[in-house]
Amino acid sequence: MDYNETFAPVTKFTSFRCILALVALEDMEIHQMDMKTAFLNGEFLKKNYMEQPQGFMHQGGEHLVCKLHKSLYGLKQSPRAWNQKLDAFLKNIEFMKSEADLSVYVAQVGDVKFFIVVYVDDLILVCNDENKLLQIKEELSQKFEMKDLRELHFFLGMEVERNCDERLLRINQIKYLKEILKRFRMEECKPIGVPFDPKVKLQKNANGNDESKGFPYQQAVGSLMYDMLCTRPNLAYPISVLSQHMVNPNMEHCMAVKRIFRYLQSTLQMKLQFDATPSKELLGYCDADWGGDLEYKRSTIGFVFMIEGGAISWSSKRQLIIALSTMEAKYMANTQVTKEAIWITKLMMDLGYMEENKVMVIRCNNQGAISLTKNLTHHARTKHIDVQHHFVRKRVENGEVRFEYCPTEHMVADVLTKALSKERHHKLINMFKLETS
Amino acid sequence: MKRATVAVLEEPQNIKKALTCENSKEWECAMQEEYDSLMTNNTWTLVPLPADRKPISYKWVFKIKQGANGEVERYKARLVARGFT
Repeated sequence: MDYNETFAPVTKFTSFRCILALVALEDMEIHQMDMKTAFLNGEFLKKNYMEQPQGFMHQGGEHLVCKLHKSLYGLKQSPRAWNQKLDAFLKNIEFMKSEADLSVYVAQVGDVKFFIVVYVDDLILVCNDENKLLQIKEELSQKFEMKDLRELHFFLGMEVERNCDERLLRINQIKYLKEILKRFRMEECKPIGVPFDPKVKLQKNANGNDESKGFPYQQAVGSLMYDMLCTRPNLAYPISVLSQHMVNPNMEHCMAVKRIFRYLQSTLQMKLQFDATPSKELLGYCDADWGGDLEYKRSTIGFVFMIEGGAISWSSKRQLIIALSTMEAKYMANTQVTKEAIWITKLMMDLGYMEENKVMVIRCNNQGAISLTKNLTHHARTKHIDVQHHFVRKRVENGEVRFEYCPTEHMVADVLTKALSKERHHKLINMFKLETS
Repeated sequence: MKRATVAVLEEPQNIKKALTCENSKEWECAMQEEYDSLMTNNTWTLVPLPADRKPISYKWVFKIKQGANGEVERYKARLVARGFT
């Protein structure tokens, strides 16, 4: 086999949600198209030979081999060959590839905005002008063999619902959740209010062997993780904790997973909502729970970005370094959130939603950490902080991000760093615009 | 994920099983369909193998496409290259 490169980009969930938020906000059309035999469209630069398929041998040419011109399924370079072909075509019809997400293409002429999201052989077309949408669809159909699925309803296991009168767009995974509840025999389980018991502190299984008694722990956590990545920021913290125990789980860990299924049972109908409130705000929130991890006393950081109130990006992660104080933990969290903020700003600029030199505002509930992002004060207490974390100060200086104080009461990212009481959990996830209709 | 209803419909693992199982007629049709589609797309041309090259192998993958209610929509055969070498 002869190939050099195999990488082909697929879209990130965050960019998909960003685009959905813009669709709701600007009342754009969103359609889906499917490519038939996508990989056969790709062409190779290098020569590849394959045996002739038996039963379809060319008469008199049995000794010959097939020299491949187009890519076939099963070749490592096929996805890339296809992607390059599509890329060339889209660029040819005046689409620009986003630098932030290589699978997002943008065209903007006057007031007409057009986005295309590519996920291997699925295309999502977003436009605020119906005629332009039809025209691009026609051009794509002429070039490739396409199936027009019309308005977007399903994408990667997510159901997309729209209410154009109220200018609402909601995504849910009810179908997927029902399937996984059934798969792990939890479809009859008793609903429960919070995904993680605040009293339970999970520890590493000291015995050093798998005590899950046949419960497919890894599969269950993996299935839940997919749900978390697509539509459920409220699961980010419990999943991040559970996935730290993928090796040798014990019954305690299994009970914690089952509890998430029970929580899903009670929140099955929950949908992530994007609407068209006129504030046009893009905000980040970040928080850290100092020393939350029992074993190593490492802190957990969490952040979320919201546009028009709907959550577009979230993360919950245990820090690698031990922080000496809450302020230090939150300062390190500021570094993490800044990395994401820069990426989202770039994507939003590519999508024409953010003007250049616009500052991304991030809310943090620790005054000390905020002041540290501006000036390197408190030398005695901060001199040991690793240089990498001062990256955030440079970005603040450049005016790319700005940190703003937000009282703990309104700090939504709190739910991404620790287990909370039922009341507070639901109060915060409402702020994500996770709605039950 | 395999549901109970899927297990009843058998998807042959290889070409030999496909051509000897009870749905061999459907599988044969499906293979012909795939082959025709590859031909119309000019996927390959037949050439003698250069001396310094080895051809890669191929296999057939058989799938039963089901509709929303589990009914059989179509039998699908796909020729794939074994491009892992």
